[in-house]
Amino acid sequence: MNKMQRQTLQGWCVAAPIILYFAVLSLIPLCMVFYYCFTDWNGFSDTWNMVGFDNFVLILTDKYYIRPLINTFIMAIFIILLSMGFGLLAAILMTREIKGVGFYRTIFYIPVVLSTAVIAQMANVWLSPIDGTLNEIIEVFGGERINWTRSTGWMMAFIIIICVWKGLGMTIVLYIAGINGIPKDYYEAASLDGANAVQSFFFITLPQLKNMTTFVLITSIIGAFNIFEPVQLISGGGPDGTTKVLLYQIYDEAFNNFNMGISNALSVVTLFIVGVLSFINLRRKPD
Amino acid sequence: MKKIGSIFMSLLVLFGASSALASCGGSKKDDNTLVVWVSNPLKPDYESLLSMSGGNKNKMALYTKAVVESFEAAHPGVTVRLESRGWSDSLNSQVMSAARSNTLPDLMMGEMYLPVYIKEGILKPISIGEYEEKLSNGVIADVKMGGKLYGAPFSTGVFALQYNPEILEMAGIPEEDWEPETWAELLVNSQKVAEANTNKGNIVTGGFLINNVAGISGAFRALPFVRQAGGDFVNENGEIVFGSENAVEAYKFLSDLAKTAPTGSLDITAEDQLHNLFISGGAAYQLEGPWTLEEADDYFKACAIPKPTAESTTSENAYVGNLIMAMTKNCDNEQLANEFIQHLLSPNMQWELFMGDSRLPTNMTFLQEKYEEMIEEKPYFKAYLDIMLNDEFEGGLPTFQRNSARIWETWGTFYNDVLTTTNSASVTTLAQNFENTVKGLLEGLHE
Repeated sequence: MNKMQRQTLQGWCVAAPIILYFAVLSLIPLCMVFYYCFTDWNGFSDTWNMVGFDNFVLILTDKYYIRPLINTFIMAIFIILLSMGFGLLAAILMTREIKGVGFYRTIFYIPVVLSTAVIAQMANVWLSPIDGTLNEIIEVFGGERINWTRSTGWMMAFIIIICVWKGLGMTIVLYIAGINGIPKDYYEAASLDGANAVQSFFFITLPQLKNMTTFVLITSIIGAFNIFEPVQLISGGGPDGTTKVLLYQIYDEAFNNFNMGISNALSVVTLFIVGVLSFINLRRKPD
Repeated sequence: MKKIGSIFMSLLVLFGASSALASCGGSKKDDNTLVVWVSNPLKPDYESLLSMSGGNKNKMALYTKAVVESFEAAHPGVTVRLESRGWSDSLNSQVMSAARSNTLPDLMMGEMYLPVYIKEGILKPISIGEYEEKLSNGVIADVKMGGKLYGAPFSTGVFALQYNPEILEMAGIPEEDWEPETWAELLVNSQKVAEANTNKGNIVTGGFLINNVAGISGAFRALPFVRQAGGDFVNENGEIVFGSENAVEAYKFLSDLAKTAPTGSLDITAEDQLHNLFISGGAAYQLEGPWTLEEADDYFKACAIPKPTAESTTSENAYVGNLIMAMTKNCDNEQLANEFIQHLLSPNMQWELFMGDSRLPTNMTFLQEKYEEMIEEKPYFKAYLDIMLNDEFEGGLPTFQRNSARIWETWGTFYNDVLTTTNSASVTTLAQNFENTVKGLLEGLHE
């Protein structure tokens, strides 16, 4: 065995565990998803029928399945915009020389490590229709109680707020890293040329954060299409299934409705959407 | 350096290979180990729970200890291995993958989705000898198919009307009227309480606390009223009858009763919040299983569910929290598994269960023999024990092979409309529409 062959073998040996791991836990299941999405398998049986594109037709025509798709898009748009907007704003403030910046960074990062179950419990205390904190506050100010849990709009808004709040810390950390990576010389030169803070932000900070923004955007898109726990633990998809999202519907179809074929078809649709959105973003050439 | 690199690579390869093998394989059982997937009241971590400070107060852990240790003592060399694999959808996901890979346990606990498992060949018929005759017809209704028994309920619950004497007294209702015998009497009492507008702490008390939690939770608690009216959700021929005349009569009554519910309670989306509301004195009445009384034994009382009219002959109930132990297709030692089920149904273990859980034993002979002792121990369970002994109940909610969650979600919308409508005439239309929707969903998505 010559040196080249030995190095090739060594390379394969190093890569083998992860290739094996990826093949067993990702690639094979993915192939199975692509197969079962064309069946009416219930998840238990040894037999199933091939149904062609029926599952996809159903998903795209039955409002029961369209609704989670639309909900996911609505939530994704708001979550991405809000988390990127607030994340950037907070990151800019936290890179300034202000007193207690470490404290603020910690405060914003705590929700990231907080369990969703704990957050859901807090949300339930706030939204309880009997003695919920929010309604108590509204009543103190003379307002009328709101049926949060029966209101589609409010429940969706709460899920968006909770998702943004929970993920904001990570966006801030990424943007802080991006901002700290911008050479100070740029700002000094701009300052000498008479640029004010707003101009520095739009002509230096934002363009320099383009790569980081692309990364945050892709991870946010993936994150937004992976919302599951807040929906399951806070709204349960309700009221009347109006806050269901794609992932929740995938789970519900597989393990509650025993429609594994439809569940797999929904997974393929999700994969397609996330794949297309990520591809569009990745095609933008990094600076 | 080169040597270190080789060792590192070897370890990586070993890790990858072992991970892949581990993910392919299942847990290996031997003939002397009985693997049982359980949920409450059987606690796999009972030893840790009991070793904690104050652990001897954990009644479920004590019950589990009694079950495991007495069975192992009676079967030298046998080990009972309890494993927690979740409940409902979480358990379904585990069963699905284990069924495909033939790594199911010997025994598993389940509830209303067991009929689906039976149809899919995941469960084997059990043979529990004399105990089969001792089980109430009501509890085995859903696991007896083709004359074969596929599971044995060892702990169950039925519904009774629970009431808060203090609230009824505050509303000026005389004690002899606290236990209504007809729907009309229940409605009048509930209206009186709601009109009295009394406060319990910072809660304004309501008449009847209706469970409007979407899905099976609300449906479970509507079913006894529907059955009392002579209706059901699915008839004996397996036909969908959500919109039958009798069922509509019950919905209309529930709609009237809902008008007396505590403010905001119809918007509650979790069972535990309803439970806390009732415990805190939020309503005079509620229809519930026995567990609420276990927590507040001196405070609340229970009685039979009122009948539609004094002349009504039906007094059907429904089970709730019916815990069934079933044998899976991968059971290696059927005799041992059957013996374990019989062990759970034995008088000693049924007594341990009664003391350790807030549900009811299912061995009818045991219930008859120990009736007085049980009432002495837990007097607040009398109404429930009477319902059990009179065998006044049938199976639970119907199980659907497909679209079960979708059907119960649609029920949630329908039931909320029924409870919040101000026009009782619309209930008939709502029920008919719902019945048609369910029929449509059951026709299948691909036929």
